[in-house]
Amino acid sequence: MTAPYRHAPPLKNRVPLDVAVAAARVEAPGMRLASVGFPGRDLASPHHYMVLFTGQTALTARLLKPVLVDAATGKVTEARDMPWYMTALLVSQPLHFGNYGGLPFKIIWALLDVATIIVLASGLYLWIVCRRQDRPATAQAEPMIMETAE
Amino acid sequence: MKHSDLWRQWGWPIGLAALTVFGLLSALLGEDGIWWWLSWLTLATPLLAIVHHAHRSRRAIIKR
Repeated sequence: MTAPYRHAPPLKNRVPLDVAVAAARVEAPGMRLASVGFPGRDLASPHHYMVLFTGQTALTARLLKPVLVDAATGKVTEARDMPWYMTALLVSQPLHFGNYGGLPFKIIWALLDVATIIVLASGLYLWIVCRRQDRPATAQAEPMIMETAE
Repeated sequence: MKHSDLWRQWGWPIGLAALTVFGLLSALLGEDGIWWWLSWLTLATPLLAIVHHAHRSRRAIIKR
């Protein structure tokens, strides 16, 4: 996105922040201003403001839309939507942390966690302890009968 | 394995998995209260199944 600026001379004066944000806002109608990276800082290039927008709905609030604004002219260099894999990653982030859906959701999430831990622990127990106990008595060992609770 | 056996064995797990996926996504994508309620109900079904069957197998052991 910033390749044409690779050999540009160092930035002398930058346009005011308001001008840059106003120019960027045209590219992201109806979106919420999330953050601005200043020229030369981590988020932006040496010649640009990086203006970041997010959506307004629950689904799009995690989606970032970056708009690069030329800091010398105050004109938009480029605006892009996230590639599909970033969209998928950002939207699915809460699925990893379980920090959404209200308090009942979080309680259910915690109980399902406990159930998973029990399955894991009991499986390890069967594998380690029961296998060790079985080994010397293999000859007389009765075949284990699994009863279905019908 | 006959087709009906396969369904008998995997029907419940598949059903519970479908309910779980629906619950996770409806809480993630839904904004209204109704979607959250649906998610709470669908995600509670695996828990109810666990409690029900844990209780039933305990009773079976005590009976013997």
